[in-house]
Amino acid sequence: MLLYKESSQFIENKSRHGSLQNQIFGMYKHKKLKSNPKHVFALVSSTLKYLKFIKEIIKKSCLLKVERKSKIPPAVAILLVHDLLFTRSGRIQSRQHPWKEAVIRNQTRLRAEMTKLKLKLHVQSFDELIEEDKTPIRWFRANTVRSSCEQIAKEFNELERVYDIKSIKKGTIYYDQYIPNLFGVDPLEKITSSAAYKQGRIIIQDRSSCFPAYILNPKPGVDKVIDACSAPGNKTTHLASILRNTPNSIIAFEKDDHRVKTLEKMCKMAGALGCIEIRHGDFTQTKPEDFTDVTGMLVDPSCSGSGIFGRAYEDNAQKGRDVEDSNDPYNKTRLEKLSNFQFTIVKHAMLFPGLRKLVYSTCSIYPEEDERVAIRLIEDEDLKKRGWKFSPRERVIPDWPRRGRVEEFKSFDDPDRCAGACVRSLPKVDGGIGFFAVCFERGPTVGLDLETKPKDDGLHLEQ
Amino acid sequence: MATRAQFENSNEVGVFSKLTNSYCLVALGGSENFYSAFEAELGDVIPVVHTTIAGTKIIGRMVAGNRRGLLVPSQTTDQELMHLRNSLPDSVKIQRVEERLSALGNVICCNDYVALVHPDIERETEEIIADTLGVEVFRQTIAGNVLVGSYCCISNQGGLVHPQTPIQDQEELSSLLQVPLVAGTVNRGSPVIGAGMVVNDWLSVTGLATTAPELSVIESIFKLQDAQPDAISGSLRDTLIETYS
Amino acid sequence: MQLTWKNIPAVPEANDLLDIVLNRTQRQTPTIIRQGFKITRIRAFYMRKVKFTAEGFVEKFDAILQSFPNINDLHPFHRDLMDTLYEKNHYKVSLASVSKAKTLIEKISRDYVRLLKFGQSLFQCKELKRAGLGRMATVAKKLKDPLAYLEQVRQHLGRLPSIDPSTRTLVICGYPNVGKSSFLRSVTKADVDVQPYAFTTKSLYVGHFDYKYLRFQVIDTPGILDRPTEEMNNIEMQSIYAIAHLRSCILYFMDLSEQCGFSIEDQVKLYNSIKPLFANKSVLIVANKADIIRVEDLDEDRQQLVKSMLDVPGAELVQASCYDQENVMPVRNKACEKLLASRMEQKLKGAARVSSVLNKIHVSKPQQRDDVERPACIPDAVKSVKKYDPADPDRPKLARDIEVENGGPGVYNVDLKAKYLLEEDEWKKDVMPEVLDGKNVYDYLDPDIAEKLQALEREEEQLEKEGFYDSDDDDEANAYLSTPEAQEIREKAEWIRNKQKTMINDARQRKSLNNRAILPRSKLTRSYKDMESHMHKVGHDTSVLSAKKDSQHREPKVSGADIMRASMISDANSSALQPVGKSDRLHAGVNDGMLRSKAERIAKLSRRARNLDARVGESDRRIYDEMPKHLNSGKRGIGKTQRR
Repeated sequence: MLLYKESSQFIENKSRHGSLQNQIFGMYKHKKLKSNPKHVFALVSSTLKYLKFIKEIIKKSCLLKVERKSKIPPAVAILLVHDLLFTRSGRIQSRQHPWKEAVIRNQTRLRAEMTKLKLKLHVQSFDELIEEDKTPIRWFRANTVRSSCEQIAKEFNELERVYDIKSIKKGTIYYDQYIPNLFGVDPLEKITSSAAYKQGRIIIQDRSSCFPAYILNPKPGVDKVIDACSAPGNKTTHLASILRNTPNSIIAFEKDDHRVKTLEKMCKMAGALGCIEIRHGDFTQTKPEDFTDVTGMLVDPSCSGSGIFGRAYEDNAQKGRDVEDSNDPYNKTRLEKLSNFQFTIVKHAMLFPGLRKLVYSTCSIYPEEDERVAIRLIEDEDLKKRGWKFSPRERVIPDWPRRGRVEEFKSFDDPDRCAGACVRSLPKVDGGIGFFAVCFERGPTVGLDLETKPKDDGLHLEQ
Repeated sequence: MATRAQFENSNEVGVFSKLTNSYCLVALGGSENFYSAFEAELGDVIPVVHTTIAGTKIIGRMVAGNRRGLLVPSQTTDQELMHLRNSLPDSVKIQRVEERLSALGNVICCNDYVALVHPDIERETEEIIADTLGVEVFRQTIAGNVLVGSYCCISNQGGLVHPQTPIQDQEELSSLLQVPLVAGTVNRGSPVIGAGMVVNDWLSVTGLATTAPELSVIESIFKLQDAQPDAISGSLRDTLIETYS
Repeated sequence: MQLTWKNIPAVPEANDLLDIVLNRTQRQTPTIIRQGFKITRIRAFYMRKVKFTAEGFVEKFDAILQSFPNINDLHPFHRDLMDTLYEKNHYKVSLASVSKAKTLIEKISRDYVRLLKFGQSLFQCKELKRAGLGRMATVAKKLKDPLAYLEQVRQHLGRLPSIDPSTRTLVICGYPNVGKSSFLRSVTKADVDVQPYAFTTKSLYVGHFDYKYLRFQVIDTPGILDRPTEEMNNIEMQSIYAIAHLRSCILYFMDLSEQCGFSIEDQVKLYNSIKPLFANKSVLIVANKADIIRVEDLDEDRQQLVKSMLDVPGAELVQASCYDQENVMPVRNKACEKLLASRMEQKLKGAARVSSVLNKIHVSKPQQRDDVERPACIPDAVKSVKKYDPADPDRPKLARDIEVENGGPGVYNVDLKAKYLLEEDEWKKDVMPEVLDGKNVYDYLDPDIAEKLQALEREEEQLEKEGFYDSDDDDEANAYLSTPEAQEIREKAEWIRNKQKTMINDARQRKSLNNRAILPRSKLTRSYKDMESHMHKVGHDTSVLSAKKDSQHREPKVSGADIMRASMISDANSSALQPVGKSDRLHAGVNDGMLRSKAERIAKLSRRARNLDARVGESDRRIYDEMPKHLNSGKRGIGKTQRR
């Protein structure tokens, strides 16, 4: 019953900040949560998906009215009913407890109301009414530090190769045409249990998330790069992979204590600790003059996460609160705060003396965090003085069809060129999470391989 | 096979008998004619049992059951319960139910998969029904009437409901029960279907007063003798319009 | 609506009616009256006679008036039919005269009763009665003709065929001798006369048959001749009315062979002249006697003539031969279909009633709501069950047969135990005990108890394995709770709680009884040993107590009256365990037996004086009511009241 008592606080209408996952794991870290946070998260996210149906069922069956004596808190009742009706096993995970008995006493009634509700809505299962909030394709890349693209291809040769994203299904594998060493399979494939994953030879990373490192394209042995907000470390290890594990070529910053540990673990798993120097600290507090040899930078600061999967139903519990803008689940003030922060951090990054190329990316679909931050940066006087401009499209994954929003750049002379410096990805539609990346470059092209197109690795050319 | 019979000159066959796919209960009457009517039709396939419930003959309205179980009211005496236990095969679970609405035959209408119950029935009884009879339980009214067992008669293949059931309700009920339904009468226009007839998957017995159109409707909707429900809206349509207006 | 009038009571002749009523009066009213009776009695006697006779007449007339149908309230078809047969006006007039007679008799009765109120002597009253009854008789005698007519009508009405004007009807019409009655014969079970001469059928005949589970009635009419309706005779008018008033399907029969004696042209002419009657009805033209000649065999212009009949909308021409049963059933079916179609059309136009019918023809199909299969469960043995045939000598023996063999329904009692399903057959006859040792056996019986126990145990094991019973609480707290210190604390706490409870209970008891004794004196026993142990527990020195006890232990000397008593009282009472506080109040003050007997004597002496006074005491009988009314007053029902 403890599991349910603790999970009930996430179902209630309380003001919270941060995503559900962060809240749960955060509370666990601060010893405010005793149950296994993974269980809590699984239970709460599943319940929130079906929340309105469960509420309807409870109301119709008058469960709380009949069992008034047991004094079940409504949030706990919702969780118990969810476990009874919407899980495969149909069992409530608890020892004998008056609340559990109260719900079990009414199970026939609850099941009947569920059937009637399904009939009323003309569906055979509630899943038909719930939009699946999962990624359509599971992407993973070959970690060239530990292995190579051909080896990985060989390891997964029992999967049939397909040449079109849309034909990916269970038992097939797709070799991506935009990013080298990247493969896509059906989400149901068991990648995490494969030897390659456990030994760090492949890293699960969404395709869109591979864009920044690929756009930056540092040259091994020549460039030194900083990853300003590196945790959990996918992009950092991607950089390491591109830099072929050249020692001392990457500095990774991370402010948060716990996330730094994750970063370390990831880099260790990928075998890239040799080239990555992890700095536990606030990037904005660094002095640019200390890093004169840094030529490239990757800035992926905290964002609203609106492009990420799995967050859609978290707001079900918060409905009914006074929301300033009813269109935005995350209100405008929050977005404003975030975009200010993003601007600050990128501007700080752009003040680095030796910096020639910078890629700014977010996993957000809101222009407030995407194009408008880029516009603010490009129009900033200090940065203009330094010569920061948008990169031309040829250097920013030219084949990728979805560029920045042209209408945001209306005030510019050449909105198409500006939009061409950005790449965007829409969640689900483009085969992965929602994403935005824009590439800035500056001044004399010293040391950085700016003119040539990004290097091709053999495999992804064979179509 | 649809047959006609009478119990001591009464056409209300559903009051004095209970027919399911694995057994048949018949009230103890003055003579054996009624019992023999069932015996002749059923032969040796399922046991036909004489019984009383709480000393009364209205057993059809007091008990509810399907092929997996039988529910009897709390007024049933221990001797009657023992008699039933001995006469019915072991696969049939017999359960005594403590319930304020003790006429279970009027309050519960069930087949082997789904049961409709009176909206005011207790939770505990609902659980017992789901458990003993192995059915899904739904609280419903039929044509605004709470006595579902009296105004509706269902088998695994079809069902007959009160003649004044609106078509909307009929559709809803049909989806709930997952069987085709039609509204009709029995025993020459009596709307109390459940009390006027008994049915299982291959046999139905109604009172002697049932007219030929009523009987043909019953045969088609319950799919007896290879009749199909489509006949009702097809060849029987004219007959029914003539009869009912 | 009434379709037949078979239950009209017989209408007696006028004289017979008179006899009946007067005889009734004679039998059912008192007959003895004497001159010496009180005048009121005499008056009442004769008034009764007059009233009774009037009532008798009224009753009889009422019966007639109620049971004969009111010709205006009938369906037009019946009305016109009765008009043809009995003449409407004559009928009405007869009934009206009966009604008039009734009112007249009522009036007479009222008048004479009023007169009788003032009768002064027996003779006067008698004469009044005679007059009154005489007048009533005259009125009744005047009804001779109407009553005779009504009797005739009644007899004929009873024999009319019951024709329902609103149900499904087929009317067969045409020239005489074309084969209408033979059609009726072949289609229904009606036993109609079929003869070669015309006008064999002189009135309407009805036959019934079933088609599509519905009952149809077929009406055979007498033949019609082609002449204007005013000239038609009664018999033909019946056919005309049948065609005109019944909403039906008309089968117009034709004889193409002209064997009926009428040419095809005549038949066509007749058809055209009664065509107006066919408005709103479906018509089927049946060319009968097709075995002799067919439509195709006719020559051109005759064929044209026949075809011209079809210009009525909806008319169809069919051929049939009733003689060799050719095409008879198809013709019938066709007619039925036409009729049903037109009736359906009518009904569906009226939207109000349609809705009540619609739901009875609508079959709702379920929409699949999940993947669970719900097949029918028909055991295979059903297919091999042979249909029970009562005529078959090898049929299985039914309970009914057994009952009949053993004496029939009242005599035979079913053996309920014979069909039990038990492992051994001989167990069937066992008698189950119902009560054993004052307990209900059935409460302790459960055939599945062993299984249930096993299942429960298995479930428990499973849950145990899954960690179901593991505590949610912290391990730390648990660990502390199992140490011996914690145990000790628990025990002490328990002891404190119990002691508190006991103290509270004692206090309550003491308070609630208000210093009254808790136990009755007879039950309070405390032995010396208890007291000693209690004192020892509390901390007193018990040696003092035991010394005291020993010194007190003496046998009491018995004297005087006690000697008598001692022999009666058993030893147990005077043993050492005499309960504390039990004192014999009567004898406690006086220990010595001698003194006790003296005390008794003194008490008796003091009482003697009062007893001699013989004053009434509370335990003596006291009479509250010296002279109860029911014994001292009132007349006797039988006997004399010489003494009370």
